[in-house]
Amino acid sequence: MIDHEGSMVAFEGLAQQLVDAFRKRLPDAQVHAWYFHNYPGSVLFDNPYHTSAVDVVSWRARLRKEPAVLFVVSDAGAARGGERFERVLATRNWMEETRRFASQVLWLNPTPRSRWVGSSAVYIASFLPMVDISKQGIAQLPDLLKHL
Amino acid sequence: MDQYWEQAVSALNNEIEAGMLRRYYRRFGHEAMLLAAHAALLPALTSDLVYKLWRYFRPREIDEEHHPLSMAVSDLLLSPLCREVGRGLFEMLPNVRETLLDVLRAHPQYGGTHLKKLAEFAHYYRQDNPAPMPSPAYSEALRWTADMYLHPNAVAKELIELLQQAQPNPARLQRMMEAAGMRQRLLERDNKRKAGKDPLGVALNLVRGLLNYQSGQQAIGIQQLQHVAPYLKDSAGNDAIKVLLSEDILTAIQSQAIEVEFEPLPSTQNHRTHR
Repeated sequence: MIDHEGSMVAFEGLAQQLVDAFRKRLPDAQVHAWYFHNYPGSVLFDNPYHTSAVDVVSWRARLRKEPAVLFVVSDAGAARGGERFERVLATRNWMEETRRFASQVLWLNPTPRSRWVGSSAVYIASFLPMVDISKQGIAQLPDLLKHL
Repeated sequence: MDQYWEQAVSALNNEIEAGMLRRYYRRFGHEAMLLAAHAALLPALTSDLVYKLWRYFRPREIDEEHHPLSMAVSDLLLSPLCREVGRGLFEMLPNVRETLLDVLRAHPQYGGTHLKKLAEFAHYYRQDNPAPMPSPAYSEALRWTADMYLHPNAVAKELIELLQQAQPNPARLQRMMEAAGMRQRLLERDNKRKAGKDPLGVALNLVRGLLNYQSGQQAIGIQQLQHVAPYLKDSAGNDAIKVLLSEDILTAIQSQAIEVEFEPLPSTQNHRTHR
């Protein structure tokens, strides 16, 4: 799940590289990228141009049939900074509901951990496993994935 | 803030913009300011363009692990120094852009040669990255920016041709004049020279003068045209830029100090060339 546009504008290339890396390692059918803006809502988009969308109820139903590991690529508000509690709450509610269908969720944050303080990211990281996309963060991935 | 930044920021007439620059410097530091100054040459910014720009130009001693390149790009694009003008397309505020570029021009570590390097980067970026170009207008603006520093003669010719088109595109002409105007002001500050010695400067003054004259501001137009009159010739080599001037303009810009001779054409217009 890729947060894009707005504060993610500088990280869109990085997000695409991650998707490409997954696609290189796994069969195409096993990797699907969904797009949202700021925080996921009632629909997820099939592509970055929003020309096709799926409502989140059917999307979750599909997760029940086809178990998946969810990777969320988002700055969680850390790029601009500032704590937005409606964002934190909306994300928490959305994720709680989604984890009933896919319990393995890992948040990949393109901003360094040092920038999370004073932003919504620090709160979201308290209820979801979150790593920064840095050498150190990536090094933690195998361990984190084992314990999801 | 070191003396170069401070001088440039203090010289800004707009207090709000000066405040934005100071806050940006305080929050993100010297390297971020340097990135902004490099990006200031470019007419519009995308994350891909700024990323590639800074990957090449940023000081080697910056530690990627603690100061990731993508974060520097993000900090600049999301800062108040830039405004989003299209999907993923940003523009730096014009005064801020000129102020930052002026720091780069005046800084002993960078200077005019560095501006040319930036222009070369813009040239190669445009050539090698056709896909990320958001629009033909963006691509053209990038080409003008590069060529203004690398091939000012060619841009001077293009500017005059734009004006002389049967149906000139005012927005396009305006964009080109703004870009050329910024370069001209930088050059003048750099060498304390008159823009008249620079072919693009002559072309710009000529176009400004003609536009003012045509729009009814004849006194201003004539004044501007008189500045470029010494560079107008009745006959010139093949590489000279040809421009059509009406007889009343030619009459108006004559003075005792400038000996201008011309043969009236059958129509009301005369051929003049400038180089």
